[in-house]
Amino acid sequence: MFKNAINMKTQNIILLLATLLTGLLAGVFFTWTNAITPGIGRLSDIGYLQTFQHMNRAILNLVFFIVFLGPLLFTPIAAAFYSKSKPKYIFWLLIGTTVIYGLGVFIVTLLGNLPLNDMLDNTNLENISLEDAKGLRNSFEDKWNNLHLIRTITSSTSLILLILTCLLKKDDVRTSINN
Amino acid sequence: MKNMKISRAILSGILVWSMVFALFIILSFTPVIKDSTIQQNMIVFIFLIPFAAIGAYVYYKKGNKNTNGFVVGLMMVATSLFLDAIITVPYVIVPQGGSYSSFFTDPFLAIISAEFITTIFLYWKLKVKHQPSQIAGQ
Repeated sequence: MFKNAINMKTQNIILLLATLLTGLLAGVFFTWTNAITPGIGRLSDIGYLQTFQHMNRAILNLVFFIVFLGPLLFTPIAAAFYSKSKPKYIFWLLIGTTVIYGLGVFIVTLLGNLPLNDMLDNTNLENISLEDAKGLRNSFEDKWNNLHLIRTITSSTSLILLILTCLLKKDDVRTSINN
Repeated sequence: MKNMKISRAILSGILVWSMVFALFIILSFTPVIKDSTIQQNMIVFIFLIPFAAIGAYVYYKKGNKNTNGFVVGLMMVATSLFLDAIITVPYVIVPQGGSYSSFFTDPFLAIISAEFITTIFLYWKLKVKHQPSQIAGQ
């Protein structure tokens, strides 16, 4: 029974980490969608581009990387721990969460937002003309915001599924251990 | 630690390092991805999960199943970092304008190392430690 407790603790910790990190990221994305991008959207073209460039650089830190990548590690591992559990839908909830997060957050970021961020990051804004700034903003803003909205929705959906998993899972899930 | 098969852990570490190194080489030639270090690191993060699982499988196939996965992971990461120090940095990073300091202080290296150890540990927890044959024999 003690060994079962140890194993339950591990899978619960993993599920907790997956839920916590997904929640933090969903919060970050929600804040950007709800307040940050509408707020800086009111700035002038050069002001918008400079602000966005600084924020993109500032967010590239260890804590953000852990929050962003952590769910991709812990959610599928949690699914592996619950693969032999009952009810079976816990496993499929976690698989579904992994797929939604992987496609809607990770792939969209990798192939959508990151290339746009790199485009902005590689632009020297110190001596940019008003015309070039307007052109750059037009090629960046709407596309970035639309992609980010996808990330906001999918990260929030992942969080909801993980919360559901936490509520629906049973503690004595390792029936193979109990046998 | 006493019963740990160190040579097998080192071998597994070399295997995982080789796979990650090969992936980085492939990505450095892939259009769009090759110009972005962050994109490369993100892709390596994903692939490291199955790579580390393979490394853990190789170790525990003939290694001591009672050796804590965290210890095995540490040994494998240490092996990989050693190989980075003698191969990756002097032959890849430095020619591209980097340095030992820039490589070993990169936050992604810390994340990938932590991921490596975590995956090995959780593999041990899930696949090795709680196998029915282990429980029956205890």
